[in-house]
Amino acid sequence: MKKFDIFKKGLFIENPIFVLLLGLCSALAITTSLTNALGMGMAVICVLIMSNVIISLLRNIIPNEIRIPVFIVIIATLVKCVQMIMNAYTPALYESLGVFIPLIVVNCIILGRAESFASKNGVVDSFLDALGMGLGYTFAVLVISFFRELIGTGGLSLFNPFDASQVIFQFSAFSEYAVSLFTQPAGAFITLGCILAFIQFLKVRKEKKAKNAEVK
Amino acid sequence: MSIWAFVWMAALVAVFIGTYLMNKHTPKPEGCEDMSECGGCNNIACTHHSAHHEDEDKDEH
Amino acid sequence: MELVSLFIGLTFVNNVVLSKFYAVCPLLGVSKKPKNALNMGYAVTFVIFVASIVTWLLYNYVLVKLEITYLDLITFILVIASLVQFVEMFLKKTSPDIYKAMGVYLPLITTNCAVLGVALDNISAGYNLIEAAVAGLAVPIGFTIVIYVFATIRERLDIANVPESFKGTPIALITAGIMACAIAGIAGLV
Repeated sequence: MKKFDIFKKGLFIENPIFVLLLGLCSALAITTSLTNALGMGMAVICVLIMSNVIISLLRNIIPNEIRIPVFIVIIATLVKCVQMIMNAYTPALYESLGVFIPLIVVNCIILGRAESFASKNGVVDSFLDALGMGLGYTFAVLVISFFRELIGTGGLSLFNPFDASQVIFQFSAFSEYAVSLFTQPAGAFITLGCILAFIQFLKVRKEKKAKNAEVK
Repeated sequence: MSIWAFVWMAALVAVFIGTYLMNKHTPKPEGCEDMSECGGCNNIACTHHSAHHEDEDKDEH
Repeated sequence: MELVSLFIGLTFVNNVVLSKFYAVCPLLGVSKKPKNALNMGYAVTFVIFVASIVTWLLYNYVLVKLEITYLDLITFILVIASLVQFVEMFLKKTSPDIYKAMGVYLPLITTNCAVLGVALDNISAGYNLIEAAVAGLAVPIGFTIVIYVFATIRERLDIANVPESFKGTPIALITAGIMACAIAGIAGLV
């Protein structure tokens, strides 16, 4: 049961984007379409799992005083590997994500998990933590890109990340009423702002209910 | 050719870890020790983050 | 003339924060007081300017010569991180006053996407050394302008009557969105 909790907390309670507000740069930039968001999510999951597992394995070897520089070196190496693999196997995705694949290095989620979880816990727990956090990130970028693509283009589409010509689904509902602002940078800020406001609304309501229950 | 890659990597890592340690052991000038303002951003790579100062605390105890 | 349009393009039209999304974290994290925002801006300007020149030189004179360009990402992040550590140490030792004003923001810069982003963009755009230096100046100036303006707006927002759900980060993000609209208005300029 405890293992499941480690996995679960990254999804909602400690969601890296919606709650911890980490790694917003890439989350705002690549959410123009569901396909990009899915591809970025997969890249982040790969890097996060590998870095957490490797750091967890090496946690007793790395001298404590220089652990953070060592983590940065490990993460940079892993990101470069993922970047080269994506260049080879998902060229369309590599092209559209562009500089945001190498920028995973400076994504605070990866280093944050390495330091606060993987350097203190065993391999299995670190793996589950990375999977949970990575899926939480993917979930968040998919939600943002869902709204941006739907409002911005009036429809939704998802392509196979490994083969850009293969369409998984595609529909257009109200393309003549699309607000193209939402595919532009301004739309990204506004969409995330509204989603965070909704989360804050739920939180405030829950607190009020708890307070009312206490008074009664 | 690949030998240069290893040499280059080793040199860079050595320089980085060297500067990191040197910087860490340089005390901050007076009046700058208090960075309590910087608690909120969760950015662990920032050396103001408590993660970089744990071992110093341990030494004191 | 081309350099001027490159400068204006990178400062305003392709603003680093509002249209490229580099450095959104410091935008939300640091910029609550205009004065702090400016000091952070100076620190970022200095680091990005030096980093973009150093990384350009290393890429073209070391990595290309040794045919190890696949190490670009690792080289850049390590050079930037070492540079920040060195500058911080240098300021601590030599001028406590400058350290007090802007040095405290230096450690945050290592993982500022803007520094690594500019270094990578300079290479992928195929700039020469002078263009890379201009980019290394234009980008952080755009950053400084945005975080300064943003900080002044947020100062007012603190006393504004904002719906409870929107208080804090949500309204800050929407403000940034409106600023991005303004930047998008001059998109055809360069």
